[in-house]
Amino acid sequence: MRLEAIVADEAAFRAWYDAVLPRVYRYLLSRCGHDVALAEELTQQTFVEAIRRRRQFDGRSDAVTWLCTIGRNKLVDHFRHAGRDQRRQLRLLDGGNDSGNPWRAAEIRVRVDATLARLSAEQRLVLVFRYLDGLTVREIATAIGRSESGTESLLVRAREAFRRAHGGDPDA
Amino acid sequence: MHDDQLSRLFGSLADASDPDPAVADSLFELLRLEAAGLARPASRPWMVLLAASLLVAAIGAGAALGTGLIKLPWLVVEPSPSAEPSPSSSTEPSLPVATDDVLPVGSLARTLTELPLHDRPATDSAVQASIPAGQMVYLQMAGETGPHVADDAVWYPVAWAPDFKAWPIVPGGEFVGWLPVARDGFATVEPIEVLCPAAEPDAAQLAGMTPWARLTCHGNDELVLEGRWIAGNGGIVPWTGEPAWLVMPSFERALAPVDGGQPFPFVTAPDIPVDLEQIGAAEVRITGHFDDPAANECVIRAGEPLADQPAESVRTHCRERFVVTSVEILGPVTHEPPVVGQLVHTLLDRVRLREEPGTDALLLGTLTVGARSYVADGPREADGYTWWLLAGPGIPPYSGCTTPETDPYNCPSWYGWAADASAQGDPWLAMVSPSCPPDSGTLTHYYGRQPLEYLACFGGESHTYFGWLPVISDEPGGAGQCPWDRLTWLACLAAQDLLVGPEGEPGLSLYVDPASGIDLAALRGSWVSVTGHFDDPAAAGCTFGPNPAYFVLHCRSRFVVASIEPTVAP
Repeated sequence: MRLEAIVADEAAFRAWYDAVLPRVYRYLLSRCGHDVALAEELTQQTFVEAIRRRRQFDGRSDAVTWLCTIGRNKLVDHFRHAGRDQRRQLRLLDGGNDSGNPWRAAEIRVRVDATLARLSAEQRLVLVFRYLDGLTVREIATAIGRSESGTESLLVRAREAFRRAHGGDPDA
Repeated sequence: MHDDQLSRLFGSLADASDPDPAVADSLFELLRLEAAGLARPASRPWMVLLAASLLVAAIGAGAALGTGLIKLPWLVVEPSPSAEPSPSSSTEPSLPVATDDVLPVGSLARTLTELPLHDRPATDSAVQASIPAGQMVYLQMAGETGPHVADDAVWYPVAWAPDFKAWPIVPGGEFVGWLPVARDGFATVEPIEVLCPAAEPDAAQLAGMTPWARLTCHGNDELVLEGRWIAGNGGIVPWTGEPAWLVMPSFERALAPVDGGQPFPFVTAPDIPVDLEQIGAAEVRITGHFDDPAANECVIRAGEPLADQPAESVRTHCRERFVVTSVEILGPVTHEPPVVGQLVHTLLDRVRLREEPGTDALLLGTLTVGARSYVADGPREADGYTWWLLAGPGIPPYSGCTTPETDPYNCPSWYGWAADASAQGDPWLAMVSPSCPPDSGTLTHYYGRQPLEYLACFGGESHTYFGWLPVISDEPGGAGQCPWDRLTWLACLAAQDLLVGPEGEPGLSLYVDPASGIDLAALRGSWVSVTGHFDDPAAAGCTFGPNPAYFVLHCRSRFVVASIEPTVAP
C-alpha cells in the first residue's frame, strides 16, 4: 500500500507507525552507541523526512528498509557533524543501555561501543555499515559519498584502528 | 581479527529496546501535523525554552563568557579536606524526610542519591541522564517551574553537567531536564548552602557568583564597587515587562573590574543624577544594592514572550539585579597601548575583529563591550589604525557554546586583529591588570580565572602548589587516557588530573608529558606537592583544529607537571 494512502487514514497511519517505529528505532539505537536521546532524535528526523517524501514510497518494498535507508543517511549526517564534536564521542562512550540483556552480551556491547567511540566518525560508520548492516563496499561508498577504492582504504584503516583499540589478539 | 569475528562482535550491538511510549506518541503527533502540513520545524520546544532560560541566567550573572573552568570557592560543594571526596551512596530509606520548602530558582542543590533526569516531570518520560549521588545541579528558570508534583515525586527543572562544580555551568554539553527532588516523601537532593565571601565583595567576585548567591549573600546591603564603566551591556532575551529598567536586560550596564575580572552587570535606578550614556568610558565608583523594593512590582506583560513565567520567577529575576543609586566619576579611561602577553578589554560594543590588520581584511566577527582578550601579537600599523592580534580567553574548540556565533562572539574563543583606538584617538581597547595569584602555595587564588590569565601572569616560571589529587578513572573519557590518538598529550582535553585546593575546591588541571615518567595515577587519592610551569615548549605541537596558532596559545596556558611528591595532610 502506498504510504500516501496510509497517511491519509489516521487509524491506518497509527497502525503502520506502531509497526515500523520500533524496528527503525532499534536500527538507529544500535548504530549510535546506544545513546537513547540521539536515537530518538534521529528517529524523529527519519520519520519526518519519510512523511515529507511519502509520495516517493510506492509500497512495493519493505517500508522498514526504506526508512532505515533514510535513517542511515541521517546517521551519516550526524557523524559527519560529530566528527567535529568530541563531546558527543564521550557521550557515546558512556551511552550503554544494557537493561534486559544478558550481562555478558552487554559487556561485549559496551566494549564494542567504547572501542568504536575511540575511532573517527567515518571509521565508526564504515565498520557499522560493513559488519552490522552487512553492506557491500559499493553500498557503503554510496552512503558516505566516497569512491569505492577510497572506501576500501577507509575500511582497512578502520579495521586496523578497531583491532588496535579493542586490544584483541591481532591474529585471532 | 577476521571479518566473521568482527561480524560477531558487531552483532552484539543489536538492541531490542523499544522507544519510550511518550516519545513515540509525541513523534506521531508531530508526523500527523507534518502530514497535514501544519508542523513547525522539528524541535523540542521545551528544551529550547530551557536553553533560553539558561541564557537568561547566564546573562544575569554577567558570566556568559565562562568556560566552565571558573572555580569559585564560595559556591563549591565542599568535599572533606581530610579524606577523598566521596559522595554518599544513600539508599532511599536512609534519605531525609522531604519538607515543603521551595527550592529557589537560581540556587544550587546536591543529589543525595543517583537520580534520573527526565524529559518531563513524569516517571514514564524519557531519561536524559542518570545523575550520580553527590553531583551539583542548578535550579533552572523555565517556562514551567517547580515544584511540580506527579507520580509520587516532586519535580524541578534543573541544569546539570557531569562534574559541574561551580557557576557558571557550561552553556552547552550540559543536560537540562526535570529532576525528582523528592520521592515517596523522602528528599533526594539537598540545597547547597551558599558560602559567602568573608570580606566586602568587589565587582569581580560578584560577577563570578550566581545571581541567587549574590542575593542570598548580600540581600539589600548597600555595596560600593569600583571599576570601569562600559557602555550598555544589552541583552538578547525577550524579557519585556514593567518596570522596564528593572526587568529588561537591554537596560543593563556593566562594570568591568580594572583587574580584568568578568564585567559585573547592573541597572541604574531611574532617578540617579548621572547619565552614564553621556560620559563615555570612565573609572567610576558605584553604590547600589540587590533586592530593590521595586522588584515586588515586576511583571511580564500579558501576550509577551515568556509571559507565562511564574510571577515568583519574574520577581526573583528582578530581586537579583544590582540597582545602582549613585555614581561617582573617578576619571577618564586613559589610552595606554596594549602590551603583547597581557590582557585588554573592549570599551565599546561591536569592536571588529579581522583576519589581518587593515580595514579591508576579512571581518571575522565583533566583540561585545567588556570582552577580555589576550594580546597575542602586535602592533601593526594599517589604514590609519594600530592593530593587535587578540585571542579570546576560553579554550577552543569546546568553549561551552552549542551555537557559536561571531557577531557578536558569544563564546570566549576568537583570534583576530582589532584596532586599539579610533582615528581620533578615542580608546577602543584598554589594558586590564589581572591581580595575579601568588607564585606558590595554595590554589585559592586560581578560582575565577581563565587559562590565558595564567599565561599573562606567569609566563613559563616554575611554581609549586599543594593540594589533593582526587582518584579518577583511567578509562577513556576519564582523566587517565586521551582517547584521540591524533592529539598530542598537551592538547588532549580529556586527559586531565585536577589538583584540588586544601578547602576542597576543584583547582588546577595538570598535564603530564608521557615521556617524563611521572605517574600521577600512583599518587591519586593523596595530598601532594606539585611543581610545574605554564608555557611548556611542547605547546608548539598543539597544531589542532581550524586555527592551530590559537590552539598553541591555549596549550601554552596549561600547567605541566615537572615533579610531584606525596605530602602530609594539612
